[in-house]
Amino acid sequence: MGLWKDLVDKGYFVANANADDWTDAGDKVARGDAAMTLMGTWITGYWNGIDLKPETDYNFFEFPQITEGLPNAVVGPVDGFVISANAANPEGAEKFLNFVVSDTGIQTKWASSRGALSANVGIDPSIYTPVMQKAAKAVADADAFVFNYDLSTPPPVAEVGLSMFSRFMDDPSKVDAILDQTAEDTKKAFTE
Amino acid sequence: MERETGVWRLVFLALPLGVFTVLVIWPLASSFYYSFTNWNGFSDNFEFVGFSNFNKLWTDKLFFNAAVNTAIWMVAAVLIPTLLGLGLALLIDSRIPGGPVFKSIFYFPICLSAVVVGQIWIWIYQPDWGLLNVAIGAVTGSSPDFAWLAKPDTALGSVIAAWAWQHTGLAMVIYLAGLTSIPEDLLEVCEIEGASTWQRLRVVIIPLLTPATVVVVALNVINSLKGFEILYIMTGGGPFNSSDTLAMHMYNESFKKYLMGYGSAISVVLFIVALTIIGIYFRELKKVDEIYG
Repeated sequence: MGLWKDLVDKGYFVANANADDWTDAGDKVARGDAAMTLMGTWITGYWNGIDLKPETDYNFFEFPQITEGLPNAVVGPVDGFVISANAANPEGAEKFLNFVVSDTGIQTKWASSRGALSANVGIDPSIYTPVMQKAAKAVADADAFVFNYDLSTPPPVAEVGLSMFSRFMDDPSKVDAILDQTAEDTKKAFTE
Repeated sequence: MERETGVWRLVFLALPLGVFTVLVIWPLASSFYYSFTNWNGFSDNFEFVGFSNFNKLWTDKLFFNAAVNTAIWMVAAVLIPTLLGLGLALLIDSRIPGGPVFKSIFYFPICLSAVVVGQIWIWIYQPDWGLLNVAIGAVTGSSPDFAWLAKPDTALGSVIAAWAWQHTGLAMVIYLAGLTSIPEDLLEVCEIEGASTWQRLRVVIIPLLTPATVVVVALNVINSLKGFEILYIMTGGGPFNSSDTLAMHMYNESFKKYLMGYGSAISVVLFIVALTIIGIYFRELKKVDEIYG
C-alpha cells in the first residue's frame, strides 16, 4: 500500500477517482484528460465504438511487476457457457459445449462480437486488432491465469477488499487505519 | 337475491384478490419463511437456522448504520417535500403571474420514474461538468470539482435532495387542493381584523390544511420506505455504506452476498417498521376525520 500511497501523493491519479465508473475513466483517456487506465480488454470494444483506432489512439502494456520472483499471472473474468446441474440432457449439453469451444469458426465469431479473447488458443490471431493481439500474447506467455479478485473469493470477503481500496483512494492519509479495519472485517467475513 | 349478489361480489373480487395474493401475500409469507433459513437464493439445499438471522442483526454494524440512515432518510424525505410543497402552494395560490405554468413545472418531476430522476441528478452532481459544480463555479469564480455522490459525508444528502425534488410537486398539488377548501370568508375576516400574514397562516390556514398535511406526510412516509430505485441508481448504498438504507442493505445482503435468509430477516424488520408507521397513520387519520369530518 506504501507504493500506492506514494503514487497518489505524487498526484498520478485523477481527482475524485471514486466518482468515475470504468466508462468515465475510458472517456478521460480518450479525451487525453488521463494518460492511462487499468482495465480489462472489454474497454477496447468501448473505445472502438467511439471511433478510437487501436495502436494509433490507444495501446496496451502489462501491469509492471512490483515484487520480483512472483509468477507472471494474468487476471481476468471468463464469459462462458455452463451446464445446469439439473440439465435434462447433460451428455448432449457437454457435446454442444465441446463443439462450441473447439470450432474455431464459432470461436472467432464469438470473440469478435464480444471484443474479448477466445478461450481457444488455436484460432487465427489475425482476427484480433493489434492491441488485442498483444493482450493474447500476454495471456499465452503468462505463468498462470487467475480470476478477478472479486470473482475468486466469497462475496462478503470481496466487498471488504474492494471497499478498502475505495476508502484508500478517498483518503490515502488514513491508510494504516484502513488496513487495520480491513484486517478486522476480513476476519469477520471469513468466519460468517 | 342477496345471496346471488354476494356470490357475484366474490366472483368479481376473486381476480384482484388472486393477483394480490400471488404478488404480495405469497412473497411476504416467503420472506418470513426464508428469514428462518440459511438459503442463498438459488440452491435447493438450505437448513432452518431458527432465530440466528435475527440474532445476527444485533451484531451487524451495517444493519444499524442502515437503520440510522433510514431514519434520517424518512425524516428528511417527509419534512423537505412537505415544507417546500406547502411554500410553493402558498406562493402559487397567491395569484403570482404565471402561476399555472409554475404549477406544471413543479409537478413535472413526479411524472418521471425514479430511475430517470436518479440519472438526471447523477449528471447534475458530476464533479467535472455537472450543473451544480458549474453553477457554484459561476457564482464563486472558482472551479469546484467536488464529487457529491462519491464522498461519504454528502452522498445521502445528495440523494435526499434528488428525491425531495421529485416529490415536492406532489405535496404542492395536494396543498393547493387543500387551500381551495379553506372558506374565503374566514380569510376575509382575518383581513378585516388586521391579522398579519404570519398570523393568518398560523391560526387559520395551516390548521385547516391538516387533512392535506396528513395525506402529504403519509404519502411521503410510504414513498420513502419504498425508496430503493433512486438510491440504487445514484449510489448503490455507497460510498462505504454511507447512503445504505434498510432496503438497500437487504438487497445487498440478498443478491450481492447471496445471503437470502439474512436479507429476508432484514425485510421482516422493515415490514414491521412499515406496519407500525402505517398503523400510527391510520390512527391519526381517524382522529382527523372525526375533527374535520
